[in-house]
Amino acid sequence: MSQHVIDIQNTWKTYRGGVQALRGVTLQVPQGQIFGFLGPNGAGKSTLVKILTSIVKPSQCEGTMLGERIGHKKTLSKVGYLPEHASFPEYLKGREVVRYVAGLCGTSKSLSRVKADELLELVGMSDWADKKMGSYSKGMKQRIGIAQALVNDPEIVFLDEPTDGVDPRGRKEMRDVLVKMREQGRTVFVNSHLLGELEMICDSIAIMDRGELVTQGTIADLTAKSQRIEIGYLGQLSSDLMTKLSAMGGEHSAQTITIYQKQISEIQSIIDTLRAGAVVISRVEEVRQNLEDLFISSVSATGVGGTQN
Amino acid sequence: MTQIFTILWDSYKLLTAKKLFWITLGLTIFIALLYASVGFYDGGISLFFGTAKLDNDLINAQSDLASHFYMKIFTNYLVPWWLGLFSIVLALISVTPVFPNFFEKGAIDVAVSKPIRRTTLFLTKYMGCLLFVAAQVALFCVICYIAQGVRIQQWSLQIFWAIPLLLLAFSSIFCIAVLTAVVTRSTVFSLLMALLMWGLGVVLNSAEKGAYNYAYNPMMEIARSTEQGGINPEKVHQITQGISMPTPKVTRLTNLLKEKVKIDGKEVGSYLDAFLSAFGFGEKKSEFKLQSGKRHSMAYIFGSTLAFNIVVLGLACFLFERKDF
Ligand SMILES: Nc1ncnc2c1ncn2[C@@H]1O[C@H](COP(=O)(O)OP(=O)(O)OP(=O)(O)O)[C@@H](O)[C@H]1O
Ligand SMILES: [Mg+2]
Repeated sequence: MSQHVIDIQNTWKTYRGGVQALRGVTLQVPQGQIFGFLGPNGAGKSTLVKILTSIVKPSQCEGTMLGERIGHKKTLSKVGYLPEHASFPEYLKGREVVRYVAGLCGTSKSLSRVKADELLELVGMSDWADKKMGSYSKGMKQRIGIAQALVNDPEIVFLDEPTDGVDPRGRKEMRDVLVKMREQGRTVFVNSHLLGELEMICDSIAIMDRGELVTQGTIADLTAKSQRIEIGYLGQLSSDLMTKLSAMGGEHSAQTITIYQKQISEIQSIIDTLRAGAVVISRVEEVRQNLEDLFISSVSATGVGGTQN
Repeated sequence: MTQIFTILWDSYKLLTAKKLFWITLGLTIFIALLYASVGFYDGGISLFFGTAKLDNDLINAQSDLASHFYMKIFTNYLVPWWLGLFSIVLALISVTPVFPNFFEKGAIDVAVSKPIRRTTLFLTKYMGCLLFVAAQVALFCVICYIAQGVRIQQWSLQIFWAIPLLLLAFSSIFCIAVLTAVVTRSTVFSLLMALLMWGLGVVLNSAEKGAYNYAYNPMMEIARSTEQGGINPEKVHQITQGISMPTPKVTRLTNLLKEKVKIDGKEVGSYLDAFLSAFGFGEKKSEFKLQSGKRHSMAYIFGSTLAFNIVVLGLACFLFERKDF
């Protein structure tokens, strides 16, 4: 089996009614990572996850998940899934929901009992486990949702907006849960709009826009291009100095000199030159794009949604 | 196997969480006990476990008519009316939401994304609903069976034919609701469609019966002969029969029980009817009426309804299999 738990090429989906939700997506997800899947509303993120979990039939899809073709039912016993806007039967108790899902996965009764207790503890719902779903708050339901996604000891866990409706402390706890899953060797595939949170935990990300994949890679790699060092100064630069700096790769604008893709050790000569010209340096700073900047610069500026035929 | 049990268990949880389930169950037991409360003493019929007495010279503990009378209540009233109409409607109301609930966004995703074939998922869910109806009918029949054994010493296992007959009748209506649910995901619409199609079936089958009556009843001879330039009545009957053939036949299915249950080898009621008519009570069933009741074989009624079931359910299953949720 390849290093990639998900390895798909050329995935297309046109819904009935003509919405082209996916247009030739090719995606590799490395094993054992937390993988962030981003994109504006209607980009096709949920559609892709649904194709991988056999909820939606692709118009076309080549490649494999866990070494099996997409849509292979047996493979899904090694997959956990928390749908977007998950709704679980109101007439079941939290614990029953977890065990119901375990049963659907074919987990034996005794094992599912043990698993349920363990997972309810993990998501902090032990005290509430014997109350009906109907009496839960949104965030509590979401916690049960996380627990049920893990009940079959999955190798891959798909979480479609898992922190939807969860309070800040709960979100922190959930991040810890995700990290724990990764430590256990699972691959975690997260759809989310909360870039700040993803940035904290994701190893790699992919960004979708209008049914196409626009970027994919580790956050460090993707933001490397934007890595730069800024030197702030006071006063004026002589034109002689400016020419020298340009020759050394510095770009100059409003009291700041910017040098792209250089290490701090490599720009010491520029500092020397400035100091030799008696320029007062106010700051030297290494700057890197954050995920939000990357996201904004990757996706097109207009509108939402898939492509209408 | 675990998966199938899980789906059934979920359906059970869903149904028992509803008040309507308990109301239906309560009513079923109540009606059955009401039947059991009827008894016979030397001078007539006792009601409500003996609290009320109706003196009757013909039907009493001394006469053979009592067993026919008691059995007839079951085959001619309780089964066609209570089981065949009211309890089907109640069951339909209780179980129709099962599929629309199952198809709800955010809920179906969980079930469909599991390592279980959609067809299995679908059919198990359907069987779960039928099981629920079967359990109610079975409970009803058991109480009635014991009542008949105790009251008239007829331990007639044939009455349990009511279970498959009713189940098929129910299923033939319910499958329409399920097909509608697959397409629309709406409970109200599903229920409406089911009742509408049921109604349509009744209308078409009555039309067929009417046409048969007009074409073959000797009493219609005069009417037939005075009609001028009309279409051949037999042809009309053939057409109505053709149209009504693929429809579910709920009433006729429940009426089949009358043919199944016998007392000492005699048809229930025949003795009673003969006796009553000899004394000028009631009318003896005309030859034609008897013949009309048997114009279709059991295989025809059973088979055409079963075929309807299979086609509708197959279509629903096919659509479910291919649906994007
Ligand atoms: N069942 C469906 N039938 C028809 N069109 C659909 C269906 N589901 C999604 N779409 C369309 O497909 C496109 C992609 O939707 P999708 O839900 O995959 O987006 P998303 O990236 O998950 O968006 P969000 O961030 O809002 O969750 C949208 O234009 C949507 O309208
Ligand atoms: Mg989505």
